[in-house]
Amino acid sequence: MVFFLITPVLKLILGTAPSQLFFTMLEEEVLQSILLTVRCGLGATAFAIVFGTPLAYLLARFDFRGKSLLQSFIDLPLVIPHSSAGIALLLVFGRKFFVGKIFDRIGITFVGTEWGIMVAMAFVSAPFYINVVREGISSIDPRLEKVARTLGASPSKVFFKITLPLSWRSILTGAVTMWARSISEFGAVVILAYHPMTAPVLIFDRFESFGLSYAKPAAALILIVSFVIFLLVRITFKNARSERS
Amino acid sequence: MLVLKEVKTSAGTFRLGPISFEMKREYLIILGPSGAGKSILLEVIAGFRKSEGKIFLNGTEITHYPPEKRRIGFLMQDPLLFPHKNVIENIKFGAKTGDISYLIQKLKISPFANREVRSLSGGEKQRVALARALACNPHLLLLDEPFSWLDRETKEIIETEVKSISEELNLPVIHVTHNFEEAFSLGDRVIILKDGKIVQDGTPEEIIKSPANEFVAKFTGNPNVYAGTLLLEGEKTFFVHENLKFFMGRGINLKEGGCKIAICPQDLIISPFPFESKDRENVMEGVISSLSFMGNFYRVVIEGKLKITAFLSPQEVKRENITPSTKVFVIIPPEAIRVIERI
Repeated sequence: MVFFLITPVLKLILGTAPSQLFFTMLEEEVLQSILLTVRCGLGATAFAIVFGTPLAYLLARFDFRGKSLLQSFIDLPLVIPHSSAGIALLLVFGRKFFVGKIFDRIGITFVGTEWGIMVAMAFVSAPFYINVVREGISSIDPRLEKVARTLGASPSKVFFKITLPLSWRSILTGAVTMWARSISEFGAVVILAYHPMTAPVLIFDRFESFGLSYAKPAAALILIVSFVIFLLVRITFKNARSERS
Repeated sequence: MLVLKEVKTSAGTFRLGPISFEMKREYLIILGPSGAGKSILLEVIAGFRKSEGKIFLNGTEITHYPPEKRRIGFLMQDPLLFPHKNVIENIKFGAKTGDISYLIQKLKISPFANREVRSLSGGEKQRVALARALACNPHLLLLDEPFSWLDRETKEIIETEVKSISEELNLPVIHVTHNFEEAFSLGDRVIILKDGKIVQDGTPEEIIKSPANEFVAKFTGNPNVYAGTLLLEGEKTFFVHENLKFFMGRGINLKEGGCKIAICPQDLIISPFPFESKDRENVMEGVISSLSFMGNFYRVVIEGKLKITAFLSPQEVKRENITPSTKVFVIIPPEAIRVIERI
């Protein structure tokens, strides 16, 4: 299994000459693409933190009619082809549907913009965040929240003073997982916003237009950048956890 | 003062109530077996469970108040300290005043006041949980078997402290337990709950002397419940069980007929020597079949024409030289016999 997982990565990196990597790094188009991907991934993750955390809390703490159905809808992006997700998003956020029209009035358009990339990333990756945070909140003893209420804390104070501080680990894990999934998204992004090009779209574009040898350095560079960022986040997370314990 | 009027609620198929009682500034025990609805009742009072009926606290109706508006402290079975806060931060979480020094000193928290909560022992954790609840200056304190998992010594120390603090602060307490010994040693008043309903409400002494029914008698440790018939002979009232006849008193306002009686184990007199009783019917001969030390008294089972249990002090056991398998005489004073159910 380890061989299966590591070999393609090593083959891509080691099969690319360092000089090719260096020159690719200096390419404005590649750099802008990487920055755009990271930025949009962060935007999508921020969106999920703000709106997904209360939803995760709702799912973790309350039983209500239609909860299973809601949970299924949340998980749907995990199982549908992402190109289908892209088309569905295009139908909603395009200018012909009222949602797209409303945003268009305030100057936000989604087709071929960073907003569109963020929406596509958020749609396909948010389930990762919501599910991890929901599990994290479920693991907190609800009686802690009850006790806080008897100590005079309102539900919102309980959420911010008890639930949120106790679930920061799952929020961080969910955010990192979601961000990682976001930056690798291709199917939904390419339909909603081929341009500006995110890193996965850029690699596809070069492969389609110029062939494997031209796409390979960009793919290797993006893989290295993603790996380094992911590694740094994990090390920081691990240090924070060991300090805490 | 807490007043419950016709309070009802349900949890699945379980129905609690209707429950009505008033409590003053006292230490009230809710006693009952598992599944009686004790914890559900506390959840209703604390505001965590919707209910029908009305609840008043100090004259204000709080039936529809959320828990944070009720000023009711709640100590659950587990201390439930906030793990991301240290001891002081836990106590100060909902403190109404900045000065918590009285509680820290009274509950002997100073030695571990700045520690992380995960490093505390069970007893220390419950002290902090208690201080945290009291720091909010509650009008009522609810205790849901909070000390049941502590070792006996720590449990007794903390329970004594809780009682003493509640008296000092003039704070009414409702303490839920399934342990009748704990209930009778701590409570000013005991309410016994069974299947979601109150079966008896009284002082510990009243409940021991006059259990409301066979369930209460047996649940509170009295196995001496017998079915038989009441018989009136002139002014005298007798209880007839199989071929035994016990004198219950003169001029008692009881009708003849089937009934169950309870004989209070604490009121029995035992001696290895025959003694003269003015009511000779109530003297029984038997052999001690078991003698167990229960911590502060002896549980003595005597088997003769009737199998009966007596609770004797260690002094009585020593004085009367009571040992297993010895022949003894039991006198059942008429005032020890109570009719608990008509059948």
